[in-house]
Amino acid sequence: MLVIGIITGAWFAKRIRLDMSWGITVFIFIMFSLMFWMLPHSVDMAVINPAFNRLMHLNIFIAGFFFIPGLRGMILEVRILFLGMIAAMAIATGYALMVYDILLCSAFDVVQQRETGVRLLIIGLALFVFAIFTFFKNIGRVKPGQ
Amino acid sequence: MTELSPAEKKKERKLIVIWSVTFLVLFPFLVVLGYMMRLNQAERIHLGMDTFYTLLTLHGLGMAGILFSISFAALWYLIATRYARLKTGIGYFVYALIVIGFSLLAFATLVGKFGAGWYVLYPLPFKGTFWAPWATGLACASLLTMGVAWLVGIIHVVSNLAREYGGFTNLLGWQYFKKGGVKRELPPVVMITTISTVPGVIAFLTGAVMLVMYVLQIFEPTLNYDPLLMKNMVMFFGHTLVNITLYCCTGWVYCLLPEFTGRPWKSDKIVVLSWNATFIFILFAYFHHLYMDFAQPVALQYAGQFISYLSAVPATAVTLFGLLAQLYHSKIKWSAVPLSFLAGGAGWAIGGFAAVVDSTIAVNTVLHNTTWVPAHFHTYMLMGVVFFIFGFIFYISHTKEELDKDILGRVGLWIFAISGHSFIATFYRGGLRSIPRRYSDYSGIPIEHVHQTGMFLAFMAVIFITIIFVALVIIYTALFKKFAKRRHALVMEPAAA
Repeated sequence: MLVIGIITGAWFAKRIRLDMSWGITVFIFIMFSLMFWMLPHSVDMAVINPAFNRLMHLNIFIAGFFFIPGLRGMILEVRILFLGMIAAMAIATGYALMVYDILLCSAFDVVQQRETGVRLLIIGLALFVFAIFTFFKNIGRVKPGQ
Repeated sequence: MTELSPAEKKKERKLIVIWSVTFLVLFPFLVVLGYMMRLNQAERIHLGMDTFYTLLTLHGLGMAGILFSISFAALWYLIATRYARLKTGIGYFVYALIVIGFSLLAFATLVGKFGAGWYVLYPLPFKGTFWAPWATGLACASLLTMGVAWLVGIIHVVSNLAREYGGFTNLLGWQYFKKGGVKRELPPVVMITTISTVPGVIAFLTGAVMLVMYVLQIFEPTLNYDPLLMKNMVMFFGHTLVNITLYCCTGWVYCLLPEFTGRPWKSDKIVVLSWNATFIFILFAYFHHLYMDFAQPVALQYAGQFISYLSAVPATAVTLFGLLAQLYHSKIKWSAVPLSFLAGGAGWAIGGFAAVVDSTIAVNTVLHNTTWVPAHFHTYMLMGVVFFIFGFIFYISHTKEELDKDILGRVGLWIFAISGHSFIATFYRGGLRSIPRRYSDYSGIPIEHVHQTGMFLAFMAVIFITIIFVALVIIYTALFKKFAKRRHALVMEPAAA
């Protein structure tokens, strides 16, 4: 849902103008959405309760939708900070899930938990590289005074 | 860049004065913590182990944080007033976050008793602790807050410099190797700012990953990470932070010393090449912190020694040679600013040499857990970075005429240099006599002469720190007199005017 949201958001990105304060608000919303759905209890609830499951899908879609418009209108400092912190969160959580032997979500088993950890770690590392890439890209080719 | 208006200059100057005063307040407070630790090791007071490690943590983390912050703030001021427009609002934002971060750290240590040491080595914050988990959480939050501040500041400075000078490669000075000559001179301070701070972006993001992992373990205490991975992360973050602090200071020496010697200090192929090499070495030199970790791949251990040797040559040798070339037969008036810069350069050279000695694997197996280690980093932080900072603060608080007439400041600096090096000599001597580091006191050591030597050297250190306080009082008197005198005239151009 996150990827679908990001793709849809990218489609509309040129039509949505977010200023600095709205951009930061959106980033906080995205970070808290991702954090909330990383909590084992939230994941369990989403598996058990269909209404909660729909809410999760909707929330993640909206978070993804505002990802690109938020990034586009934002100053470089906040953009790198946002990407870096999301990457840090994903890497840390992914690694923790990967090495943890105790079941966190009762709706899944340990093997699935580890697989999730590996995928989250890969996503986190990709985001980390993307954050560094974005930084160098933005300072890389700039005409004097631009 | 377009000339700043007087109002804009006033804003920038106000910001750096606030930074300077904050440093001048926090620095002696953190020195007092070190003083108490040495008193405890001399067995003149009894702090107890818990309090000792709490003070050690705040002293180490606080010094590393505040020294980098003021070093970066000074670069900010020089760049904002001479080379590229920066937003003062972001400068204040960075300042506010650093103050908040430092306050949280002080609370976590002094109230929460967090005492995992300055590099919070895993699993120390979690296993056998004498403090509550909230203190660990607060310490992590404080470091994250400071990390966010530094990241925002660095990205703002480097991106604006890139805009001014036409991109990252130009900031690195690569145009000096292109055919057809250089269209626009690259001031060394601009290149050094880039090379010092960009590795910081990578290091701070890595530090953020590590701290989030710590936070997760606070919520889930049964989590267990690979200690070697964590040590690599913490050393990459910590070593880089301390290393770039020194390089930031070097930046303003390149920028300000020529104003006193009357000789230009420009970028050329050698300066560019040496600093570009440093860019790579900064990132990998930290391997020398892991020689004692047998599980670390052997190739990385050798890489640690090799890169540590290499990192000492380009930036240090080229800069110190340049420094001496600036001073030699220059008929300079030895006011507080050039005196501080020369003393800082000496501290850098002596501490750097001691560091290279310790980065030799064969030597490290003997010296690693001795007071040789605090000796070398105190040399380049206290006798290097702090001297550079004093030089800068004298520069912004005095006019050139005032500097020439000032005797108090010079006397203070000389006393500071003599007492500081004497204090550090107690650590070096301790290292050579196998006095262990990180011990709250030496009474538990069954070898009596080690106990006695450690205690004696700690007492000698106490005497020298007392003299350091006298030096600080003299230096502060010289500085605050000028700050008080022109608190209403912040637009005034500093020393060189």
